[in-house]
Amino acid sequence: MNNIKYLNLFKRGISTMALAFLSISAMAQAAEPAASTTATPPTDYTTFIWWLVIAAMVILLLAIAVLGNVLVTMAKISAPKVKNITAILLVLMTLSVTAEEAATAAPAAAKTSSLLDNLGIYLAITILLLEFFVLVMLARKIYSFAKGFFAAEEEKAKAAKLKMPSFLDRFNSSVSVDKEQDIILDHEYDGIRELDNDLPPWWKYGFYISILWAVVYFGYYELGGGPTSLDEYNTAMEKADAEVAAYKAKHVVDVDENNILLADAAGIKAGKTIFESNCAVCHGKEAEGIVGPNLTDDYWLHGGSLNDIFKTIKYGVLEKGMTSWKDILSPTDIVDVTSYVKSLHGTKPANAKAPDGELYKEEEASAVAADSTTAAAK
Amino acid sequence: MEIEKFSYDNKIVRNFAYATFIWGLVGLLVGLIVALQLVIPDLNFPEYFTFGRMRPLHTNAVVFAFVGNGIFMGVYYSLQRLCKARMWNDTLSAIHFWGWQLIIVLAAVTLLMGFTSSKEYAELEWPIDVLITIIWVIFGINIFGTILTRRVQHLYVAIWFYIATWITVAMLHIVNSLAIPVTLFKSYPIYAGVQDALVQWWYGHNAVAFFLTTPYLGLMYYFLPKAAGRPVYSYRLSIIHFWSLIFLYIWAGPHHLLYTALPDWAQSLGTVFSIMLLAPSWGGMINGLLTLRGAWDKVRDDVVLKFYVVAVTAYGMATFEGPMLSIKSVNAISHYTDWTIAHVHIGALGWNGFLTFGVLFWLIPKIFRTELYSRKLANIHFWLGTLGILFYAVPLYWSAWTQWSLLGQFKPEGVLMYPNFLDTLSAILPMYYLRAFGGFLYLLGAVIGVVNLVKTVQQGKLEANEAAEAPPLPKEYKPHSNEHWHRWIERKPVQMLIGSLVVVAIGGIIEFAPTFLIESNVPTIASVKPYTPLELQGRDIYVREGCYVCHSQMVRPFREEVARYGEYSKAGEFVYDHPFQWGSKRTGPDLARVGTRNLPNSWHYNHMDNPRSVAEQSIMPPYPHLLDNDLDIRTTKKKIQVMQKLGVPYPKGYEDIANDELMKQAKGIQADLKMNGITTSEKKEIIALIAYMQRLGKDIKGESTFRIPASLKNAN
Repeated sequence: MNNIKYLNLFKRGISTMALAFLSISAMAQAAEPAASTTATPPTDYTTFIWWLVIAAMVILLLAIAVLGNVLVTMAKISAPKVKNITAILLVLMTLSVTAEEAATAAPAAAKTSSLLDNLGIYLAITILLLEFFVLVMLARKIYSFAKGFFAAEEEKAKAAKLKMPSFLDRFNSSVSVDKEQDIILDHEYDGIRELDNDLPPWWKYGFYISILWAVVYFGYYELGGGPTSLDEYNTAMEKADAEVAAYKAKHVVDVDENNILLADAAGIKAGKTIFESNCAVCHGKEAEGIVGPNLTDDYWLHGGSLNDIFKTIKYGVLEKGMTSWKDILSPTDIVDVTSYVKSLHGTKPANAKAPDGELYKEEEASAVAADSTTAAAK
Repeated sequence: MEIEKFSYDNKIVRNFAYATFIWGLVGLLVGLIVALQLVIPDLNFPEYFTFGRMRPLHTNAVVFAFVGNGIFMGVYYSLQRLCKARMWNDTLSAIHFWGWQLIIVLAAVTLLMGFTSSKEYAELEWPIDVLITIIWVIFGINIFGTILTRRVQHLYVAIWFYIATWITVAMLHIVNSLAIPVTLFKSYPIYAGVQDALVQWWYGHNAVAFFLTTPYLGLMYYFLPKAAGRPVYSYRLSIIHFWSLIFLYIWAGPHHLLYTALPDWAQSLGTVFSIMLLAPSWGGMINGLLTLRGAWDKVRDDVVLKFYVVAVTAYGMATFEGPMLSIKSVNAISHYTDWTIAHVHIGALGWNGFLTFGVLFWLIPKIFRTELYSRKLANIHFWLGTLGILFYAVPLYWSAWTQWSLLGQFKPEGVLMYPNFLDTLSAILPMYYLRAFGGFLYLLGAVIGVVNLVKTVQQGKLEANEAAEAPPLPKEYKPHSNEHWHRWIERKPVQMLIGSLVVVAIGGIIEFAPTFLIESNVPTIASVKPYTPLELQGRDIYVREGCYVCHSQMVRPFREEVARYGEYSKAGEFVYDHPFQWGSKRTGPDLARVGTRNLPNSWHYNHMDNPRSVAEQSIMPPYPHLLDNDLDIRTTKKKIQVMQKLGVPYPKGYEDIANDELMKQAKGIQADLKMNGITTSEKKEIIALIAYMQRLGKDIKGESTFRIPASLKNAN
């Protein structure tokens, strides 16, 4: 009896496998010419992905065929369930046909236009998902069948004396501790026994969902034209540029080296903070000069006027190692820090670096200095 | 049937147990020191005890010395009992033990000496890599000998994990360590740039998977049901989570490289496989925690079970967090901040640390035929450890979010709110103190734990050879009629080995093949040139000092990074980087384009001598020895030759004039320093390092310093 059952199973297996292979070769034929005879060949990598997708389709289809086959055999043995099975098989057949069509259409579509390209991709993903779904359904069906086969009597016996299981046991679909003798497996390792609890359903479906998510994610970002890292970057930059432009339209911040005026006391204070975290690295905390020159004496390499200092900070003097700060500090920041530097004149810090550059006579210096102490308005 | 008498080797278990807690204390202590170095830079003692050299020592000590010995202790104990057989060969056991300790000592010495490959968790140089391979093979022969001479028909789930661990670690170690030696303690990896990064993080991620996770899951499957006296919750779950875990884990490496110059498709694979990894990882946690069903009353009293419960819970937390961190938008926050550091310590301190101590507290009394010296002390250890983990992790989560939010703020004019990286560092420094405090608590707990263990050992006596008996395996096995299909492979260790290898090989092959073979994955940039000999020597100093530990060289395509560091990094910029230096953490700013910042040579000189002389808030270690040490230029020729072998386009004959070129460039830098008031010899190491720093990021602007001399141009 058993032998005949297995023989049948085997025969069916062979015939479905043959069918599946036929469909693979059909797909391969459809895909190959399309891949090789295009005006603008896709990059290696697109082709590679397409082959992956097609391979995945074929593998899933094969799995469906094999499982479907198992199911049919099971159904034959247990007569009353046959109707159900025919319905499933019908879905299966329709699906394999669609899959073939899609697989044939998709690589061809990928070459024509971007719209069709996307269409092909979405089609492929849908087919993959469908196939996957059918596979899960089949697997479930087989599982419940198998349960019916081997455990029908035991189930009945158990059901007779069933108690309400605890929430955790129901949640994990586990057999409660007091009944675990029923599901303890007959092996033991150094005294360790194993139970045959079912997989917790939330875990199992969570796993399925994560796989589904993975397929959708990868399909969307890598096949379906989802944004790449650089697309995201460009979008962010455009958005930022628009925001900055909008801000500048509202607030006139056109201070530059030509119209700079000394900042007020609050500005000089802000300038001190900026100086300490950005300039002190080279010029010293008290502007006494380290790598960069001393900024407190009368000698200046690139001019000591308010305008010149602003200009030096803004554009930098690259050959001398002075960075350009215009992309790092805002114009008002530069005004503040320029004003702070001016306010340091003559402070004579300790460890001052030797004077360098040309003597700068402050013609209007006294006036300006007076201004700063009386917190002149901008 | 005839019963065979034999004995279990407990001496080897004891040896590994001692090594575990001794190295555990060392690893934790070095961890505490490096945590303190971050807040008190004066604790850096150049040249051998700076953060850049100490941190790899910490990670290697914890991973390979503490957890490594923990694995061997647990495997040698459980495998004998699960196979009902003594370890196959006592001599191999001894060679394994002493060989591994030798590796650890060599690792400690060479890492502090600055011999490093700079590949994280694989820093050791090639002679030690060879030694590791030999010892690992000896370990493999010994466990397989034991398995093949077993007296139990089927392999228990713990052994599946041991087998997968052994074969995968072998594969990872060999593939990632492939390098061409320059000298006895310097080699260049055969991979460069993007490819090197991909291989390294395939390795790095799976070192976590197959050194810190699978063997420990194996230990959990043995020691947890043993201590709880409960059957394992679900055999089916074991099967499914074992195979899916080892299959999926391998693919997830690229999640360490999200938003880098790695091709997008590989990044996406890293993301999706990490998400799919969640359920298989939790399969282990569920099977562990639900095994305790009906034994929770014991957990209250039994300190060993308490350790296990926290360990398994920490495992669940870390393996939930991992997939979340693999989502690109989350990873953008975590990648270069302290979030990753917090994440790995949940795993290391919680999962590995607590499981190890749980096993030690259970196993030492067993093999010494006594009771645990003090349950009270064990409980104190447990609570100190738990608090330590919290004090360690929570501040770092806080720090990560704070720094990320500060780094990304702009003024409405479109410039950075905090252009100076140090401002963001100062904001999180208090969190670093708290973290060090957490580490201190954990270490304190461990010290108490070790005292407890030593006292236990003193009150007992080792049963070196524990008598056991079992019937031999029947010659022919008749399967039960209705046995689970998986039972077949459980009695076929060789098939199990091959099956595991096949399953773990797939992911790596599919990710590597296109990256190595398809050129469009790493588009070349014509203006990117090889390093000059001086820069190459400088780069090797950069590697030696472990700069990559705190400085990345990878500008991600984000507005705030481009504003801060310059144009985002391109794959083609790294094609001559053997090894890549992308780093994984930014304790300091990114250096990918530091050369384009026009910092004066003299600034670099003073900064290396004492970082706080130029930036008060800096926590960088000082490197005064670079100013004193002469550069070893005897290696230049060999280095150029190895690079030529690796495909770096130095013209033929360049190796012979390399040192002339080197001196020419060095004299230029020396002269510039002199102009800025710094008198030094052109032969010093600092000159080479400055040359390298000044080169970084420039090529893409067509400002490469590499020139082929006219004499060679004609010859070629």
